[in-house]
Amino acid sequence: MVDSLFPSIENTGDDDASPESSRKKRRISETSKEAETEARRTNEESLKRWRTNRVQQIYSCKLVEALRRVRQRSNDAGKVSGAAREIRETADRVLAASARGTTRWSRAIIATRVRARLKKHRKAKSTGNIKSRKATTETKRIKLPAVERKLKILGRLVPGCRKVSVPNLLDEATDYIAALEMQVRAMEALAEILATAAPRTTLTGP
Amino acid sequence: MENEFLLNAGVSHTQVMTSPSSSSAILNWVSTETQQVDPRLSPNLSRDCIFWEKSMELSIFNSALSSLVSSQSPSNSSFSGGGGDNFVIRELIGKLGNIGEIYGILANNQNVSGSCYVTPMRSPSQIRMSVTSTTTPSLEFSGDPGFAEIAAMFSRFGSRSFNGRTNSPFEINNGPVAETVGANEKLPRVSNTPAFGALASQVPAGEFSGKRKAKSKENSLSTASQSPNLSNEGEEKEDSDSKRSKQSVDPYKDFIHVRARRGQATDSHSLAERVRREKISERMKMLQDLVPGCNKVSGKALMLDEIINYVQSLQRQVEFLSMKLSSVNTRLDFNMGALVSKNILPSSNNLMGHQQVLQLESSSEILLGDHHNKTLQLNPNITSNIVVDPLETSEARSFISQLPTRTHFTDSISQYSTFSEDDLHSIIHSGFAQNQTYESNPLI
Repeated sequence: MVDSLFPSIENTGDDDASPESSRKKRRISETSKEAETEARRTNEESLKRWRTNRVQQIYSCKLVEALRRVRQRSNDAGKVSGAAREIRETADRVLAASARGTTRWSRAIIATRVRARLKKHRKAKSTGNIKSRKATTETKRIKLPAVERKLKILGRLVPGCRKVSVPNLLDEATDYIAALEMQVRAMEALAEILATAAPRTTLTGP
Repeated sequence: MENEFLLNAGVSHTQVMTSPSSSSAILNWVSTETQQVDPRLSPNLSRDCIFWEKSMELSIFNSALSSLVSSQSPSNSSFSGGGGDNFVIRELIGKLGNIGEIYGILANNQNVSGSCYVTPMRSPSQIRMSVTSTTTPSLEFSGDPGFAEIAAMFSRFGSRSFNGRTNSPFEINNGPVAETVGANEKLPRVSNTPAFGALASQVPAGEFSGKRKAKSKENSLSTASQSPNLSNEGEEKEDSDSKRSKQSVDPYKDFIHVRARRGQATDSHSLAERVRREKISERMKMLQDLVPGCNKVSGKALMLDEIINYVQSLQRQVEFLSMKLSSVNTRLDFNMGALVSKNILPSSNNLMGHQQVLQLESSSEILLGDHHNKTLQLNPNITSNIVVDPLETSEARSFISQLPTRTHFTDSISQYSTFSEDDLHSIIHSGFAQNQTYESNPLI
């Protein structure tokens, strides 16, 4: 049911399998008729999916499971530090998973983890040198107009949307904001529940 | 002698349109038009070199006329009068300041015949509007049939010259070609005009077809609808009408069809720009609905500022919440699944919720494989669990009522940033003080 909402979401540079390309073809034929209204309607529908309770529930459950797994892993490993970052990354990944890979940012989030894992493996094998970073900072700084600068900043904020065209960037940002709102709501609720349900230890404060 | 030639030049200004080959036409015209210079003209005209000089003068006066016409539009009205020849002549003579110089230079040349081939090449490039605007009035006072023919030809030429950019480069190419032919001057001109018309339609069509391939399907406009319009232009004379009229919907299917609105530019570039701008503004409107506080600001830059701030604040909240969860995580091992599954219920439907609870429970506790009942028995140490559990159901209701709904969320978003920091402080300073965090929660 949720998939039927997705067909006209605009995606650029898809490297996914055939369902994406078939959706693209459908999209092209659709846009030739009445582009504006169609796109807007589907966009709104796609945004509303982040508001439903069902989505929040799904997310919360998945998050709980993932957190439990993380906890187990950390318990086994014996380390407690860096838990916040792990949890955030886990939460982001779960969010991306619930987006079902239709949006660019969700794919980018999932991809970064895969890339990070690969890098870890590669680092274990060989030591890489980081020279590429320095070259980019030497380029001449040209003052872009304000709007373009802000669009660039926005592109950096939304994962995986640095070199994306302006209308697509705005689309991605819209979906990302809706998803983030849902994530915050779910995590808040979760934290509350856990916080109140947790055993109240006596304070040994200062 | 100079004056003579000047007068001749003044007289022969309308001979600009005539070809040098039709010397008889020139003679006739001269004899009919002006009487006073006739006796002086006839001995001049008999000479060949004067004839060529006349052709030179023609070319010179082409440039003069171009400057005249381009600078003065009211001079056209003076041309229209039947007895306006004299006015024309005088105006021309008035403009002949620089021409006199050129003539002086040319007269000093020994091999005039050689040079006069050169100048006609140069000047026709400046014919342009001059020819066009002067030919139409000259129709009125030319009694010569050959002259009328040529004038009519030029009127056709002239109307095309209104078409702007595609014309002038073409005419430059056309001019020298036409002039150097000499005797066959008429023919190439005539033949060129239909060719020009065909080219005019082809060039824009070619442009746009190239554009069509370059642009992506979704972003391209009705450039296809432009090209049939322009091909009509080539056949017709005026394109100002087509600019006013709306473009028809094109039979090609791959493009987004945009209808140019009334009073707006129908240039394909501007149409594409407009579509792009509309797309972007539409998306900005959607973002405006999503981001709170964006209704007050107007303008892309400020709105983008708001959006960026909002995204950053959301990301910070997620960070904070994850930190909070991590702190809760370390202590709470067993009951998470059960509690969570019970409490994340839609407040609307409790019956369904119960079934869902069971489902969620089973799904969430697969890993541990224990039920909430067991945990109570397995952990006698954690007496607070027993304390909490009976309260759970009542607390669950309160939680559900306290679950931040969307409206709550958006209202309190401004407060939340400060709230989160307070909470953070409380957590840090007091260790895992659940009481304090819970007390500060009612803000939500």
